[in-house]
Amino acid sequence: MTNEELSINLEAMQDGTSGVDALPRDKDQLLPALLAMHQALDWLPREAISYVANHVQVPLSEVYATTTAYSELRLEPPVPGQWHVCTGIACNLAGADKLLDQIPNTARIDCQFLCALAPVICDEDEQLFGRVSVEEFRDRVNS
Amino acid sequence: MKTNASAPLARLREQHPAPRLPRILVHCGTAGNAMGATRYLEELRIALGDRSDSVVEAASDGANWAAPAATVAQGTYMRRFERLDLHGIDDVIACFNGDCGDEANYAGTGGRGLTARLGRNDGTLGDVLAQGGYSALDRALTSTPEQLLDAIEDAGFTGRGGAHFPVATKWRLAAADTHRPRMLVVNAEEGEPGVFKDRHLLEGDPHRLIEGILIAHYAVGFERAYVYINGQARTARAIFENALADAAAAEIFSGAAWNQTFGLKIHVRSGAGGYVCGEESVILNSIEGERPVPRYKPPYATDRGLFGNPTIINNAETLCAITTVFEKPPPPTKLVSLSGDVPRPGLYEIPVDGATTWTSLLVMAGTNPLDVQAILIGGPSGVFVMAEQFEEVLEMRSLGAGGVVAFGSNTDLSQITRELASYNMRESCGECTPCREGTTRMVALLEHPAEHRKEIANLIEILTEGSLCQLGGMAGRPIQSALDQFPTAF
Repeated sequence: MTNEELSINLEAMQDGTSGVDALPRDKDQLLPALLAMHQALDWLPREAISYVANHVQVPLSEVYATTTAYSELRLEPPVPGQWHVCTGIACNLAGADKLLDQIPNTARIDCQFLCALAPVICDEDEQLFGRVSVEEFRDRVNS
Repeated sequence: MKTNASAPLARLREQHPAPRLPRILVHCGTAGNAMGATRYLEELRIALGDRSDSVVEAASDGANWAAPAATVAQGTYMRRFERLDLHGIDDVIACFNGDCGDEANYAGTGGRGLTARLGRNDGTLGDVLAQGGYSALDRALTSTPEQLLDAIEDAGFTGRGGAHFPVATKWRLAAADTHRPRMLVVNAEEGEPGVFKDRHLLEGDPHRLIEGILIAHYAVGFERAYVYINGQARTARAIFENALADAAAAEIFSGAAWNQTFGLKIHVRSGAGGYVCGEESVILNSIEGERPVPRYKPPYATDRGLFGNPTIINNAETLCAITTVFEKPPPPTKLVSLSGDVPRPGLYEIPVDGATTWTSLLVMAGTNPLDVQAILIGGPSGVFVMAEQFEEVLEMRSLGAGGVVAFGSNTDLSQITRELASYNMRESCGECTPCREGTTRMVALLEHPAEHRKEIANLIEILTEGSLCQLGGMAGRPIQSALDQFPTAF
């Protein structure tokens, strides 16, 4: 990891901790605190989980158990520049597999709840695009 | 709906005047933005120059198939322009200038039901009040809480989350317990694949939910309300919180606008994914900071729910729908999130009036029912309805949470069934053995279902009877339905 990346992470960590600090130190703030960290860092490194555990005064093991139970909380950093293809029922019907096959470096993601705009893709900033063809997907990835 | 307003409501309308017409509503929100609607918002503003104030950002009106779209509101009519392209904005501007062509009649639900304002307001309080916002609360406040509960009971009002439990009965259970603080939990988690109604309600008409919460509060008397919103629905949450701030600033939320003291504290919470998080007791655990797993029942939430207090958990759609309870005749409608092989997928408010059939829904969505071999109602917990059953009359109970996926003649339904089984396996929280082991075993058995008919039947029974919550309890439903409806497909 370069120094620059490290400093960005530290800055994000600082955003995360100040988000957590703004919350009351109660157990019912566990999920809001995890989400504050997740929003700042895009994932939850061990340090972030410890910080939350300490803030809401819940044992680390319990916080870890809770964190792993939520599918949207990432325990690994996201792959930079990765696009996702929704694989909900409607998107599968509309050809999600074809998009995954034809565009490299794409991953599956569970239903994004834009079923009426299938197939749906999602960029690394979680912006959604609906009714996407292979050509449009390729253009967006390359732009 | 503007008639018979009380003096306080009339005063609110004076303080928050209606927007000027004509105007252009560009349907943005999550659905519109996924189709590039903001670009048309900008282009139309540039094109209108010093009249650019008349181009306003609105949310989706549910017609996802039409996105990107804009609606021109002239004095007495509206016209929606569908699937905009840059060439098409000339027609939008012409209509704004008074020339709407032959198709001036707006083909929307028109003024009634819980989608009457959906996506057809700019989010300001003045616009919402002008379109009948808070008039149901105003009316409710003229009766006693007991009379209000009677009215809801007389209207036969049931919950819209899937179980269709009578709302008045549920509310009375908590209202009776006057010794402990009562809690309201609004379930807008909506984690069922194929359902997107709550996001539309929160983005397109957030004041309706606030009004519904206040009506519930007036009937029951809550100490606190928690609105639990799906973690991905960030736009919906932001729009809802803005509306909440506006309602507070206008003294609607405190009740001061009606010279009352409601005294309700409200908290907005986000989920973080997982189908099981839509289960009522999982939401309670999640709010309390516990692991998001189901609780044993009894005790029921109405007795010992959030933080051990009597708790009412209502779906967001239920509370939005309660604002229509005084409309005569009360329209029994249900929101249907329709997707799959139809030309016009989107959100539909359909009358559940004893006349609507699956055929009428499919025709509404622009398809020939003969081109659809089956529909799935209720996603991974749902059932298949085959073409020969499309003439069946729709009932609230048969609609579940309103998620409907249509399958064209080329779809391999056995593959869909396997995908649903895999989904339930992945989403099982692992808390109880029948679901944790059963959903995994089901996926394996479905590899060769013909050889395992008896085992599958046994496993469905175990899942149904033994699971702790409805994720496992209903995981066997689509499998049973598939084996009943199209056994030869496997």
